[in-house]
Amino acid sequence: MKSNHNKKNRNFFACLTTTLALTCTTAALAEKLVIQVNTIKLRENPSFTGSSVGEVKYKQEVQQIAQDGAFLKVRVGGLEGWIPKSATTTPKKLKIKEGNQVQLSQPSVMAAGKGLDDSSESTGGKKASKATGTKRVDAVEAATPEVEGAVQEFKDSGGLKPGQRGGKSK
Amino acid sequence: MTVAAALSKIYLFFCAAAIIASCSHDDKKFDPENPPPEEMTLTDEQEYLLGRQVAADLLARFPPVKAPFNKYGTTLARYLAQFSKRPTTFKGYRAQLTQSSEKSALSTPGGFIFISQPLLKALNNEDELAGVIAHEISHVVLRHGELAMNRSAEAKKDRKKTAKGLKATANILGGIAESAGVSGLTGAAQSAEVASIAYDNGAGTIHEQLLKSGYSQDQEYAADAMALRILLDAGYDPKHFGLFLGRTFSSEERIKKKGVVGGTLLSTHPLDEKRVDRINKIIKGWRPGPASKKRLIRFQQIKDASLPHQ
Repeated sequence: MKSNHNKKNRNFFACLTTTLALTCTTAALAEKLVIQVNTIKLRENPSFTGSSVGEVKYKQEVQQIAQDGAFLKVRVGGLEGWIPKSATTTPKKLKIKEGNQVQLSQPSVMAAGKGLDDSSESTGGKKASKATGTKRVDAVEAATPEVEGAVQEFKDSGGLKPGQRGGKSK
Repeated sequence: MTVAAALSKIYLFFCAAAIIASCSHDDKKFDPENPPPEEMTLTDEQEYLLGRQVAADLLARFPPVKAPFNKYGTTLARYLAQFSKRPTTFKGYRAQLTQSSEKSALSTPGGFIFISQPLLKALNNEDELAGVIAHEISHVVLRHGELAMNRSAEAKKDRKKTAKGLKATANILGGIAESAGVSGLTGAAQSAEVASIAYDNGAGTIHEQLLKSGYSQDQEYAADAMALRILLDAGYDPKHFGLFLGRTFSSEERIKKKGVVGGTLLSTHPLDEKRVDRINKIIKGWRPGPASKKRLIRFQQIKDASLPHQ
């Protein structure tokens, strides 16, 4: 009877240890990533058109917990959701790429918010065209409509059937 | 020495050789069909800001047109991008109609895509437009803009200066971004002098490359091949891309404009029979999704609403 009890205890502890080990391993494998785009929606499903459950921003850290093709399931704060893998990178890679930055001693204010300042615009006699072009880019960006929800409708109304191609014919 | 010890030494030697080989990147030999390794590129944010500068220069020459095409083209671009290797860029792909006297389609790093009014006029259906946009997306995916900077530097055999220029570019982009309110940026506000260097060595190089000589033939072929795959996966019929190119460039206009340089699809996307043949060879045997009258109708409506009435 006592031996049977010990055996049950041993089994219980073995299970507990295995579970703990698996949990620790999973946690260790959950890769830390960083967002490399301005903003990206967290979605319920691994697709571009699934319901949004939140949004993550540039340089925000996320934990990868699963992968399905080109999508990663990530955890951030109290949220879990799917994002395209291309929207992420590793902190190390981001740092390497940012290594191009150099510090300069003579800062000047960048006028016009998004473009080169007046003195730089005048360099090389490009003032008018560059300033005009910068304003036009701003206008284009401001006017670009939100197409987030439009893509699904665009696909359906255009009779587009992705992935239903026949491939190469015989 | 035992045979086992000798074998293990040989094994170790080959392991070491393999490791050294894998570590030695030669940035001069990019495969046109594959983007450079992620570590060797700008960040998505820097790429976007560089693209903004190129876009500013292009829009100074070819003013943007407010038209229903912009929403339609942007939606189409983002739909197509889902089937590419790079569905996301820093601020997403964006299509814009531009004024021009010539047929032109251009993309900048980060995903600005410019389609001229004459080009839109020359397109017959949405599948043809999808082909043009998929081709431009492919240039962005393959990071041909950044490679253009590298190529230009190699031609000048002045890598040191260019490295300085690239650093300055990255730096000034940080400054621009900070002023633009883009989050998480590193650079402080920069000097006007550096801005000029950055422009001349970065955005200016790409812009000139785009307008004067276009991308290399290999890069165009690579963008074509990638575009065809995107079109097929997205449910479009890739043959329309080849049909459009063939029709456009074998026309009388092609002969008239021979030798014209600057801002045209003809000069930026050099086309010969070989290119069309390659396209036809790639898609031979493909079975695309069904044609749709709905697509034809909506394309025609957008086209009519976006072009000036004559």
